Amino acid sequence: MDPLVVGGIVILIATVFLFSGMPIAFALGVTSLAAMLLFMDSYQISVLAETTFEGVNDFGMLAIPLFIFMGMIAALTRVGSDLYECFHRWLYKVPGGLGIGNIAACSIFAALTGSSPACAAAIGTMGIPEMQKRGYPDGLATGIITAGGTLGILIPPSVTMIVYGMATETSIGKLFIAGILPGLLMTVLFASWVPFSYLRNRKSQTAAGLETPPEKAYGLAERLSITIKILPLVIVVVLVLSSLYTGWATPSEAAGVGAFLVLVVAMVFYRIYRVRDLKAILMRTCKESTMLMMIIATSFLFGSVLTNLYVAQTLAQIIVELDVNRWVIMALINVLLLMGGCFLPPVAIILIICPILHPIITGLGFDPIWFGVVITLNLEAGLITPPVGLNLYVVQGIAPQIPLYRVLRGSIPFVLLLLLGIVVLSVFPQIATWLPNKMIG
Amino acid sequence: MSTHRTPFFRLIECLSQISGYAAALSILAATLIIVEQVVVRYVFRAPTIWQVEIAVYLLIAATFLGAPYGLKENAHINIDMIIINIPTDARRKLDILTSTIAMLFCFFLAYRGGVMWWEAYEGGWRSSSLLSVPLIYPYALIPVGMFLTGLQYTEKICRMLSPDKGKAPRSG
Repeated sequence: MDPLVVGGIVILIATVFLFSGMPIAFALGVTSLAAMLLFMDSYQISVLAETTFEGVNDFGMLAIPLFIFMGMIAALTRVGSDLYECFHRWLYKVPGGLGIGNIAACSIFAALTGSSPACAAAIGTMGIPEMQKRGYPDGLATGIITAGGTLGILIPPSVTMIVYGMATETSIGKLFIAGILPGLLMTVLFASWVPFSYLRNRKSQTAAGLETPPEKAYGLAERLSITIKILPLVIVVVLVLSSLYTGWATPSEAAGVGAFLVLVVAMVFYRIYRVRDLKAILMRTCKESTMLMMIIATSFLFGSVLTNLYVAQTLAQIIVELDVNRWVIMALINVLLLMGGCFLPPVAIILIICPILHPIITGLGFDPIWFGVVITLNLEAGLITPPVGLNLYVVQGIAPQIPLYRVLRGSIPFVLLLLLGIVVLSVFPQIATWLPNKMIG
Repeated sequence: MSTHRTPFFRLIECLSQISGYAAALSILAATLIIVEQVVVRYVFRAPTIWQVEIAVYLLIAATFLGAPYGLKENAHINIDMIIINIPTDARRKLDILTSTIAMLFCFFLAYRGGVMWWEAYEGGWRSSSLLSVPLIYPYALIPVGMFLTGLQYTEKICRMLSPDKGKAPRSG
């Protein structure tokens, strides 16, 4: 049978199971097994367990639960609110300073966690009520958090980049470093939208006769005291990032040591030392890790089925041999990723689509490191667009009183900014490739 | 007292919980092992032999032993955009159907994992590293974890089939 027909049938089966409400991990596993029964020899079914085992049997993957652990420890402390409070005290004179502070806090917290929903939850829990209290419109307050949260997978560490590195055999350390400048770029883009939107809203509020509460003023002592408070964790972040940049540690080593150091900081400075606290952190880490790792294991199985049936290779060959400009194909890939990102979590998309995309990308002469950043930006947009935008649900959980349509409308400008980011990166790929190329090793 | 709280189902939930503890401890142990490895290698400049391999086995343990606990706690994410729009009764029937398929998959994967384990046991397979770990230990993780996940699914299905339609709260 033609590989493309087979591929179409497999994708159809996957779609049915995915939308049936079955957990994504099992839906992909069931689809793989069905594809094996339908199209493959029986001896290949006998390696089902081996393939699933191999999907997880990788030292690089260890970085995922360890970075989740690191983020969970930080999430249970008050570090999230300390971070935005610090930025707010320095920026309160700037219009929209609190919103900018929240985005800046997201970007720092992103360096403590590799997951976007975790980042949105950590900063948003305190940030959204605070912004509402200071007269921010609902949509702007939630948009800041949903969008700021997506920085979690762009700024290293990043679960998405670990999985991309695994799927395409690209250096995870280099991918991490490649995410730094685009991460700063997106932080600046998000932050520069805030005063604009804030002032426009305040003008209409003043016209309607509504008073915005006056900003509390902060002295130097108050600014410095909060800065000192967040300093230990910032030092850990700098240590983790620089150990990766210098090639001193592998991502998994950086994750283990980073988690350990954050735990020490949490014990010493945030008084999280009871067995009960540690147990709560570990059990939440376990839930999050097994959810992601099971998806990884079965996506790996799914990817290997697509490769075994020559679906991936055939599709890649057809696209590479198309007589169109490579940027047209890149634009189409971006549309595909954006659409996929609306339905599936980033990890599953990468593992399913990268075995197909990677040969296309390299065949067309694109840099896989650069593409890793582009794919992440696409998936960030997917996280804040319905129907399956994890960050939207996180924000809804934090602020259930804000109707979902306002949350959605508030995130639209930020989705456009992410698309702008993709365009900027396509015109200036050096933003992503310059730092990793300067890396040692 | 709902019908599903028979000792057998309590045992299943208890096993999933224990499995979850084991997975959580694996993550903690992996963290400490990595720290130890970094200290030994970079501070004492001594070679490290066992740490990477053991840490990877702990990762596999965290994945597959965590799975039944994740199912018990509803941690495995799904796409619900279509099913939330169908009537409650039809959704319950669909949930029973998809859970049964997922349960069969878990038991089949457990069975294949069991065969893999048996081959490793018969052949006395060991890992190709310096450490030469008997592979029956890491290979046991898939059959055990997936068998427990299948059991947890069985419990879920029976609960949905029971007269109170699965409204009983889950124990933490």
